[in-house]
Amino acid sequence: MHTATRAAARGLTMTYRRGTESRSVLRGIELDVPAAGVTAITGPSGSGKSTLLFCLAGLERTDRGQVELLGLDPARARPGRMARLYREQVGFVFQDYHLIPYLSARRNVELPGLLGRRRGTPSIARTALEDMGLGDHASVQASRLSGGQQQRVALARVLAQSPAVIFADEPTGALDSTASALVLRTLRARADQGAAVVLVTHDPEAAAIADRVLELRDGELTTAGAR
Amino acid sequence: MIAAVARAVLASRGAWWAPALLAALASLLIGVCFVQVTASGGDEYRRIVESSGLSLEDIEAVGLSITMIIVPTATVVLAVVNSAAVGQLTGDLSRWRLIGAAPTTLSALVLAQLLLAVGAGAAVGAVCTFLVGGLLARILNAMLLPELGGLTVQPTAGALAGALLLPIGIAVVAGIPGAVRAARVPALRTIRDSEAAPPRTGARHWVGSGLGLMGLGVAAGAAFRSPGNLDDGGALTVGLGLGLLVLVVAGIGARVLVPGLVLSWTAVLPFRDAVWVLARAGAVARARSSGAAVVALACGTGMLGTLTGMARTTEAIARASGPARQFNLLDTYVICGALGVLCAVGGACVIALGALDRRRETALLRAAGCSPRQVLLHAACEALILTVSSLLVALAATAAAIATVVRAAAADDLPLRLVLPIAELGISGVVMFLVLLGALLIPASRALRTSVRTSLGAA
Repeated sequence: MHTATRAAARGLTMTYRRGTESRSVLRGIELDVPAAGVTAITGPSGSGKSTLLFCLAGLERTDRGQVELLGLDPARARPGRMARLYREQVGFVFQDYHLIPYLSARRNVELPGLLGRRRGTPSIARTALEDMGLGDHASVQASRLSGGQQQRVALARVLAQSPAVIFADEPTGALDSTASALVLRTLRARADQGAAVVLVTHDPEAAAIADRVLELRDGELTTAGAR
Repeated sequence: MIAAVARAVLASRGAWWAPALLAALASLLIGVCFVQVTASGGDEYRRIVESSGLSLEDIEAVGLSITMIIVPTATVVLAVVNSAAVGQLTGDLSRWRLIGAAPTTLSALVLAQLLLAVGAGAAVGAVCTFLVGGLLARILNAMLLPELGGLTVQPTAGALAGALLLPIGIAVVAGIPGAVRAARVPALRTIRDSEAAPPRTGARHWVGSGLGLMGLGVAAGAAFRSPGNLDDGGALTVGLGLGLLVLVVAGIGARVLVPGLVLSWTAVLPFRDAVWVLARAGAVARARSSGAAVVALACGTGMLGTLTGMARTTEAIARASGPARQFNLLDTYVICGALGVLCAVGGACVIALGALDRRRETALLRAAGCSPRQVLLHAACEALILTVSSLLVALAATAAAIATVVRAAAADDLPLRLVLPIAELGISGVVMFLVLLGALLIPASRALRTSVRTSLGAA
């Protein structure tokens, strides 16, 4: 992997099986995610975009091929080592927010820092929430927040972590235009500050913030455009 | 109609297996008690008892007491497990509401499924009672009076009917409020996918808890004013009743009382580690399942503590005032052991019913950087929190019972002694912890072996 690459896939293949039917969603994918900037992955619904993102992030096991994330092969790395990576260098923004529902907004943002026993976590989390306009909602249970607010909490967590790589799976899928704009602005700003952002989306407005746009169709990845 | 309900039960077997299993166990326990009680009415039974020089009424009273210990305790455990199972159907019910099903229809559907699941379990229990009830009742008789061990005991039709119908009756009584509430779940739950959020503790839970505590206070006041007599066992009966009432009130107010209990005793601990914070928050937030598990386990330990505590306290009072009196606690241990199995299975079932949610949560924690060691530690911390909370509830029941005995001694101008059954509570606590740890580690371990994405989509 090139030193300026934060994540890479080599010959990535995934097949979904349901009963006697099988469907190849990824066919020998080759992908390099550069050190800084936004890489958008677009494609029709069900084309395997999220599968590719989850494989690249080490959250899904691949059938064949190799993935490298910040110098580690998720399939071979020790689980404890991967956990440290997720705490310190990798952030996630999901379409369904995926916060711990019974924890407050503040605790959700603090979570990676608390798990890693990082000093200053509470103040960093407080600042991140205030940056997302949720300073007054810090003590509110995550499940009681609106969708837009929950996504902002997820973003605040990413801001607090300040990771090297951010994986965003349809982050604006369930949001209104105002909330979507905030999410995209934040991701773009992080990319400008040196993070590698991998953005899966079917929204053209979201793809417009990307430095490079790739299209996944019929299991294969092609370049669709660049800024 | 029955076939349709049966298909619905099979489709929702992820929720109904627990009530069916508990009903089978409860049915067997209840059935053995009924077999023993009906056998005590036989002529041969009377002849053996009278020839041993003992009073038939005393022996019958002990047998009846065993039934009166097991039946209410089994009722509380069945009720909390049934309630937890019905709670698992919220997603399905909201989808039915979305397509226009009326609440009354859904209530009837839930109740019918509950009856069928519990009925199937009770039927299995009744069959087991038929097959081994006589043998087990013989063992029970032998513990009451060794000479009765040789008496052949056959399950009667009445005993089998009781084994079958009582768990079903409990399911109906305990299940109606849950079925009515479950059917009122808004259709919006399907759209909002708020199943991930633990259900709110509403005003009715607070009111129920408050009324329960008030009732407990009134009953305790009455018990302490008229605690009964130690000589004729009246004080022990009152103490047992008060101990049982503590467990019943804990069951009614579990969703309020248990989180409050967890918050209280954990607040004084200095632990600030992320894993502990998560475990504490989870135990409080999952009030329904935590409360049900705590109460189910506390029932077994509470009964053990109540019975042995009263016995040891009475022994100590008797030793201090004159001729020593010793209780043979072997039958108590055996009965509480059997009850403990029911309660442990009940507590484990409640935890297991939330396994999918816990797998999903583990996936979320892994994505946030929780290591496998921290995931397992999280399960252990939550098991510890629930165990200590169960012990505190059991201790409350034990203390209430022992206090009644002490009050009775005071009323009779006897020396006051108080003996807490530390060993029994301690051993029971260790067993509870192991049961909870197993129940919590299983979904956690499974989630660690599964990809994060699969676990996130599992719930």
